[in-house]
Amino acid sequence: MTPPQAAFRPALRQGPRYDPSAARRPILVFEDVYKSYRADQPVLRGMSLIVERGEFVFITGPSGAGKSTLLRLVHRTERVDDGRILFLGRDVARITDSSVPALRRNIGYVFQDFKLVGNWTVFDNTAIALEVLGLPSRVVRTRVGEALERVGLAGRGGDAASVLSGGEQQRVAIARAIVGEPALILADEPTGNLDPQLAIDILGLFEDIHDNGTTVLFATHDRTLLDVRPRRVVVLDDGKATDVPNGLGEPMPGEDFEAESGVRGAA
Amino acid sequence: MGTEHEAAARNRTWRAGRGAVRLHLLSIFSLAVAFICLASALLVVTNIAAVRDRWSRAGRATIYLRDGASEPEIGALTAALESTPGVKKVRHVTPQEARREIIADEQDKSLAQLPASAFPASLEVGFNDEVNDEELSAMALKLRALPAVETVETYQRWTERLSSLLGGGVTASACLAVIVLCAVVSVIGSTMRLLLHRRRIEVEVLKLVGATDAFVRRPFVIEGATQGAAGAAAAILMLGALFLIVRGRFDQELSALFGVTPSFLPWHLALGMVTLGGALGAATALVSLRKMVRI
Repeated sequence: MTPPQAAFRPALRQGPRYDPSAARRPILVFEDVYKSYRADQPVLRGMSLIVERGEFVFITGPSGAGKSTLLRLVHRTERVDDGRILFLGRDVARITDSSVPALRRNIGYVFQDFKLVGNWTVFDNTAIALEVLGLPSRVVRTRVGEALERVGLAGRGGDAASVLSGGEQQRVAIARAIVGEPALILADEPTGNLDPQLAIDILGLFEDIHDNGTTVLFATHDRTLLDVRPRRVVVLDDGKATDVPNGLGEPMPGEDFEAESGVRGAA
Repeated sequence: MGTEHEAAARNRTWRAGRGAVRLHLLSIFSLAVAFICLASALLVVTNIAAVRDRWSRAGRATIYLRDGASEPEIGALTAALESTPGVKKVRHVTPQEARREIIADEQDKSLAQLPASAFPASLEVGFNDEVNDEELSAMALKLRALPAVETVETYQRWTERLSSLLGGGVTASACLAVIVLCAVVSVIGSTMRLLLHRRRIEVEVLKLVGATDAFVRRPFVIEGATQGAAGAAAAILMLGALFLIVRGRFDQELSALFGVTPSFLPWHLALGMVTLGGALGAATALVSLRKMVRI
């Protein structure tokens, strides 16, 4: 079987500063990252973490642990207070505002609330990720068709997003995230609004995406999903990250977030 | 790539426009009301300018003769005038004829009590259209120096009054233009804020997928420009319709009174207003969004 790394396509847009050696570096490195919204309540306190290319990593932890914040920092929707976040070797916190769109084009983001434009069609909602790149409409049509097929929505491009079910809307959001073939997919509680069976289906979609070589950071507090398959899990608690390379099959030190989040424990 | 971005912006503008037709129509109507004030002022100015130009070439002067002017002097003056280039016709009006014409034209019956000697004899001189104010003034100056001539009325006072009125009209139009500018900024600024509020998810999604600020703003700027241009065009159309109705009723009276047929805004002025509307709309949208759409 071909390892995921071999299928990895670094990015669509290499740019003039493309550095081939970057392909050997970890895709994401957090170095001593601090972030707080209020001075007396830090969310991340010196958090460090390395994510290799082609990995599938669950980010978990109790509500307020900083899962969403972590993803938002990578996406540069938030800025770190201190420390570094290296994405493809570049410090996300220190890139200029004009470079932020280029960063975001290399990252697919999927949210719990889907973030679809209701009066746009499925095609429009997916195609927008390619339209910002200025790709010709013929290419956009082909690639959107492929993406919709991958998420099981082939032939639904003309439907308005607002008439879709929750699971279908999340599939559109995933299609939008993958259509640009980004190096990294960030999923922020993407199954939070879905019933358990749909949640497992959606997780399966992310696993398919990962099998094609894309790195996936999947933030969830749903323990059910963590137990579907043994994967690397990063537990955020008290502003720090605890790495569990092979999943939460065995009890974790300090694993008390279940009581807080109300999710069931491992079988 | 630029072309594809433009096409994408047009598509998004079209999609968004369909979703907010009523808001756009309301905005265009508000802008049309503002622009119609400016267009009306410009229409008045245009027609005053036409009347002034016509009157500055009114082609008429009255040479009032001294009481003691003899028939040979008057005959020589008439002959000299008739042979002057630019002079179309010369008519000698005796005191009796002057009295008769004034009594016929005026309602005031006391004028009929006056003797004929109270009305000076005159020469009514008609000029070709090519004779302008300056040439007429120079001719009047020479005529006043003649012994048989008491004074010369060239009716330039009316031209001066019209020029002054025209200056006032231009000032009023400039003031209205400033008011229109404020109205456009206010209406389009408010519309942009409303549109941005309605489409905040769209903006959020665009930012999410890596759109630049310019890419996010472009459809809004196109919408602002379209609204401004459509508002100005609607104002011109409404004023045009009103002009046609009014002209049909008062065309002859106005023509007889002022010597010119009322005319609508020249096409270059109308086009300028539409361009101004579009440019103002685009600039306002750009400025309104600059602060609101940030990465």
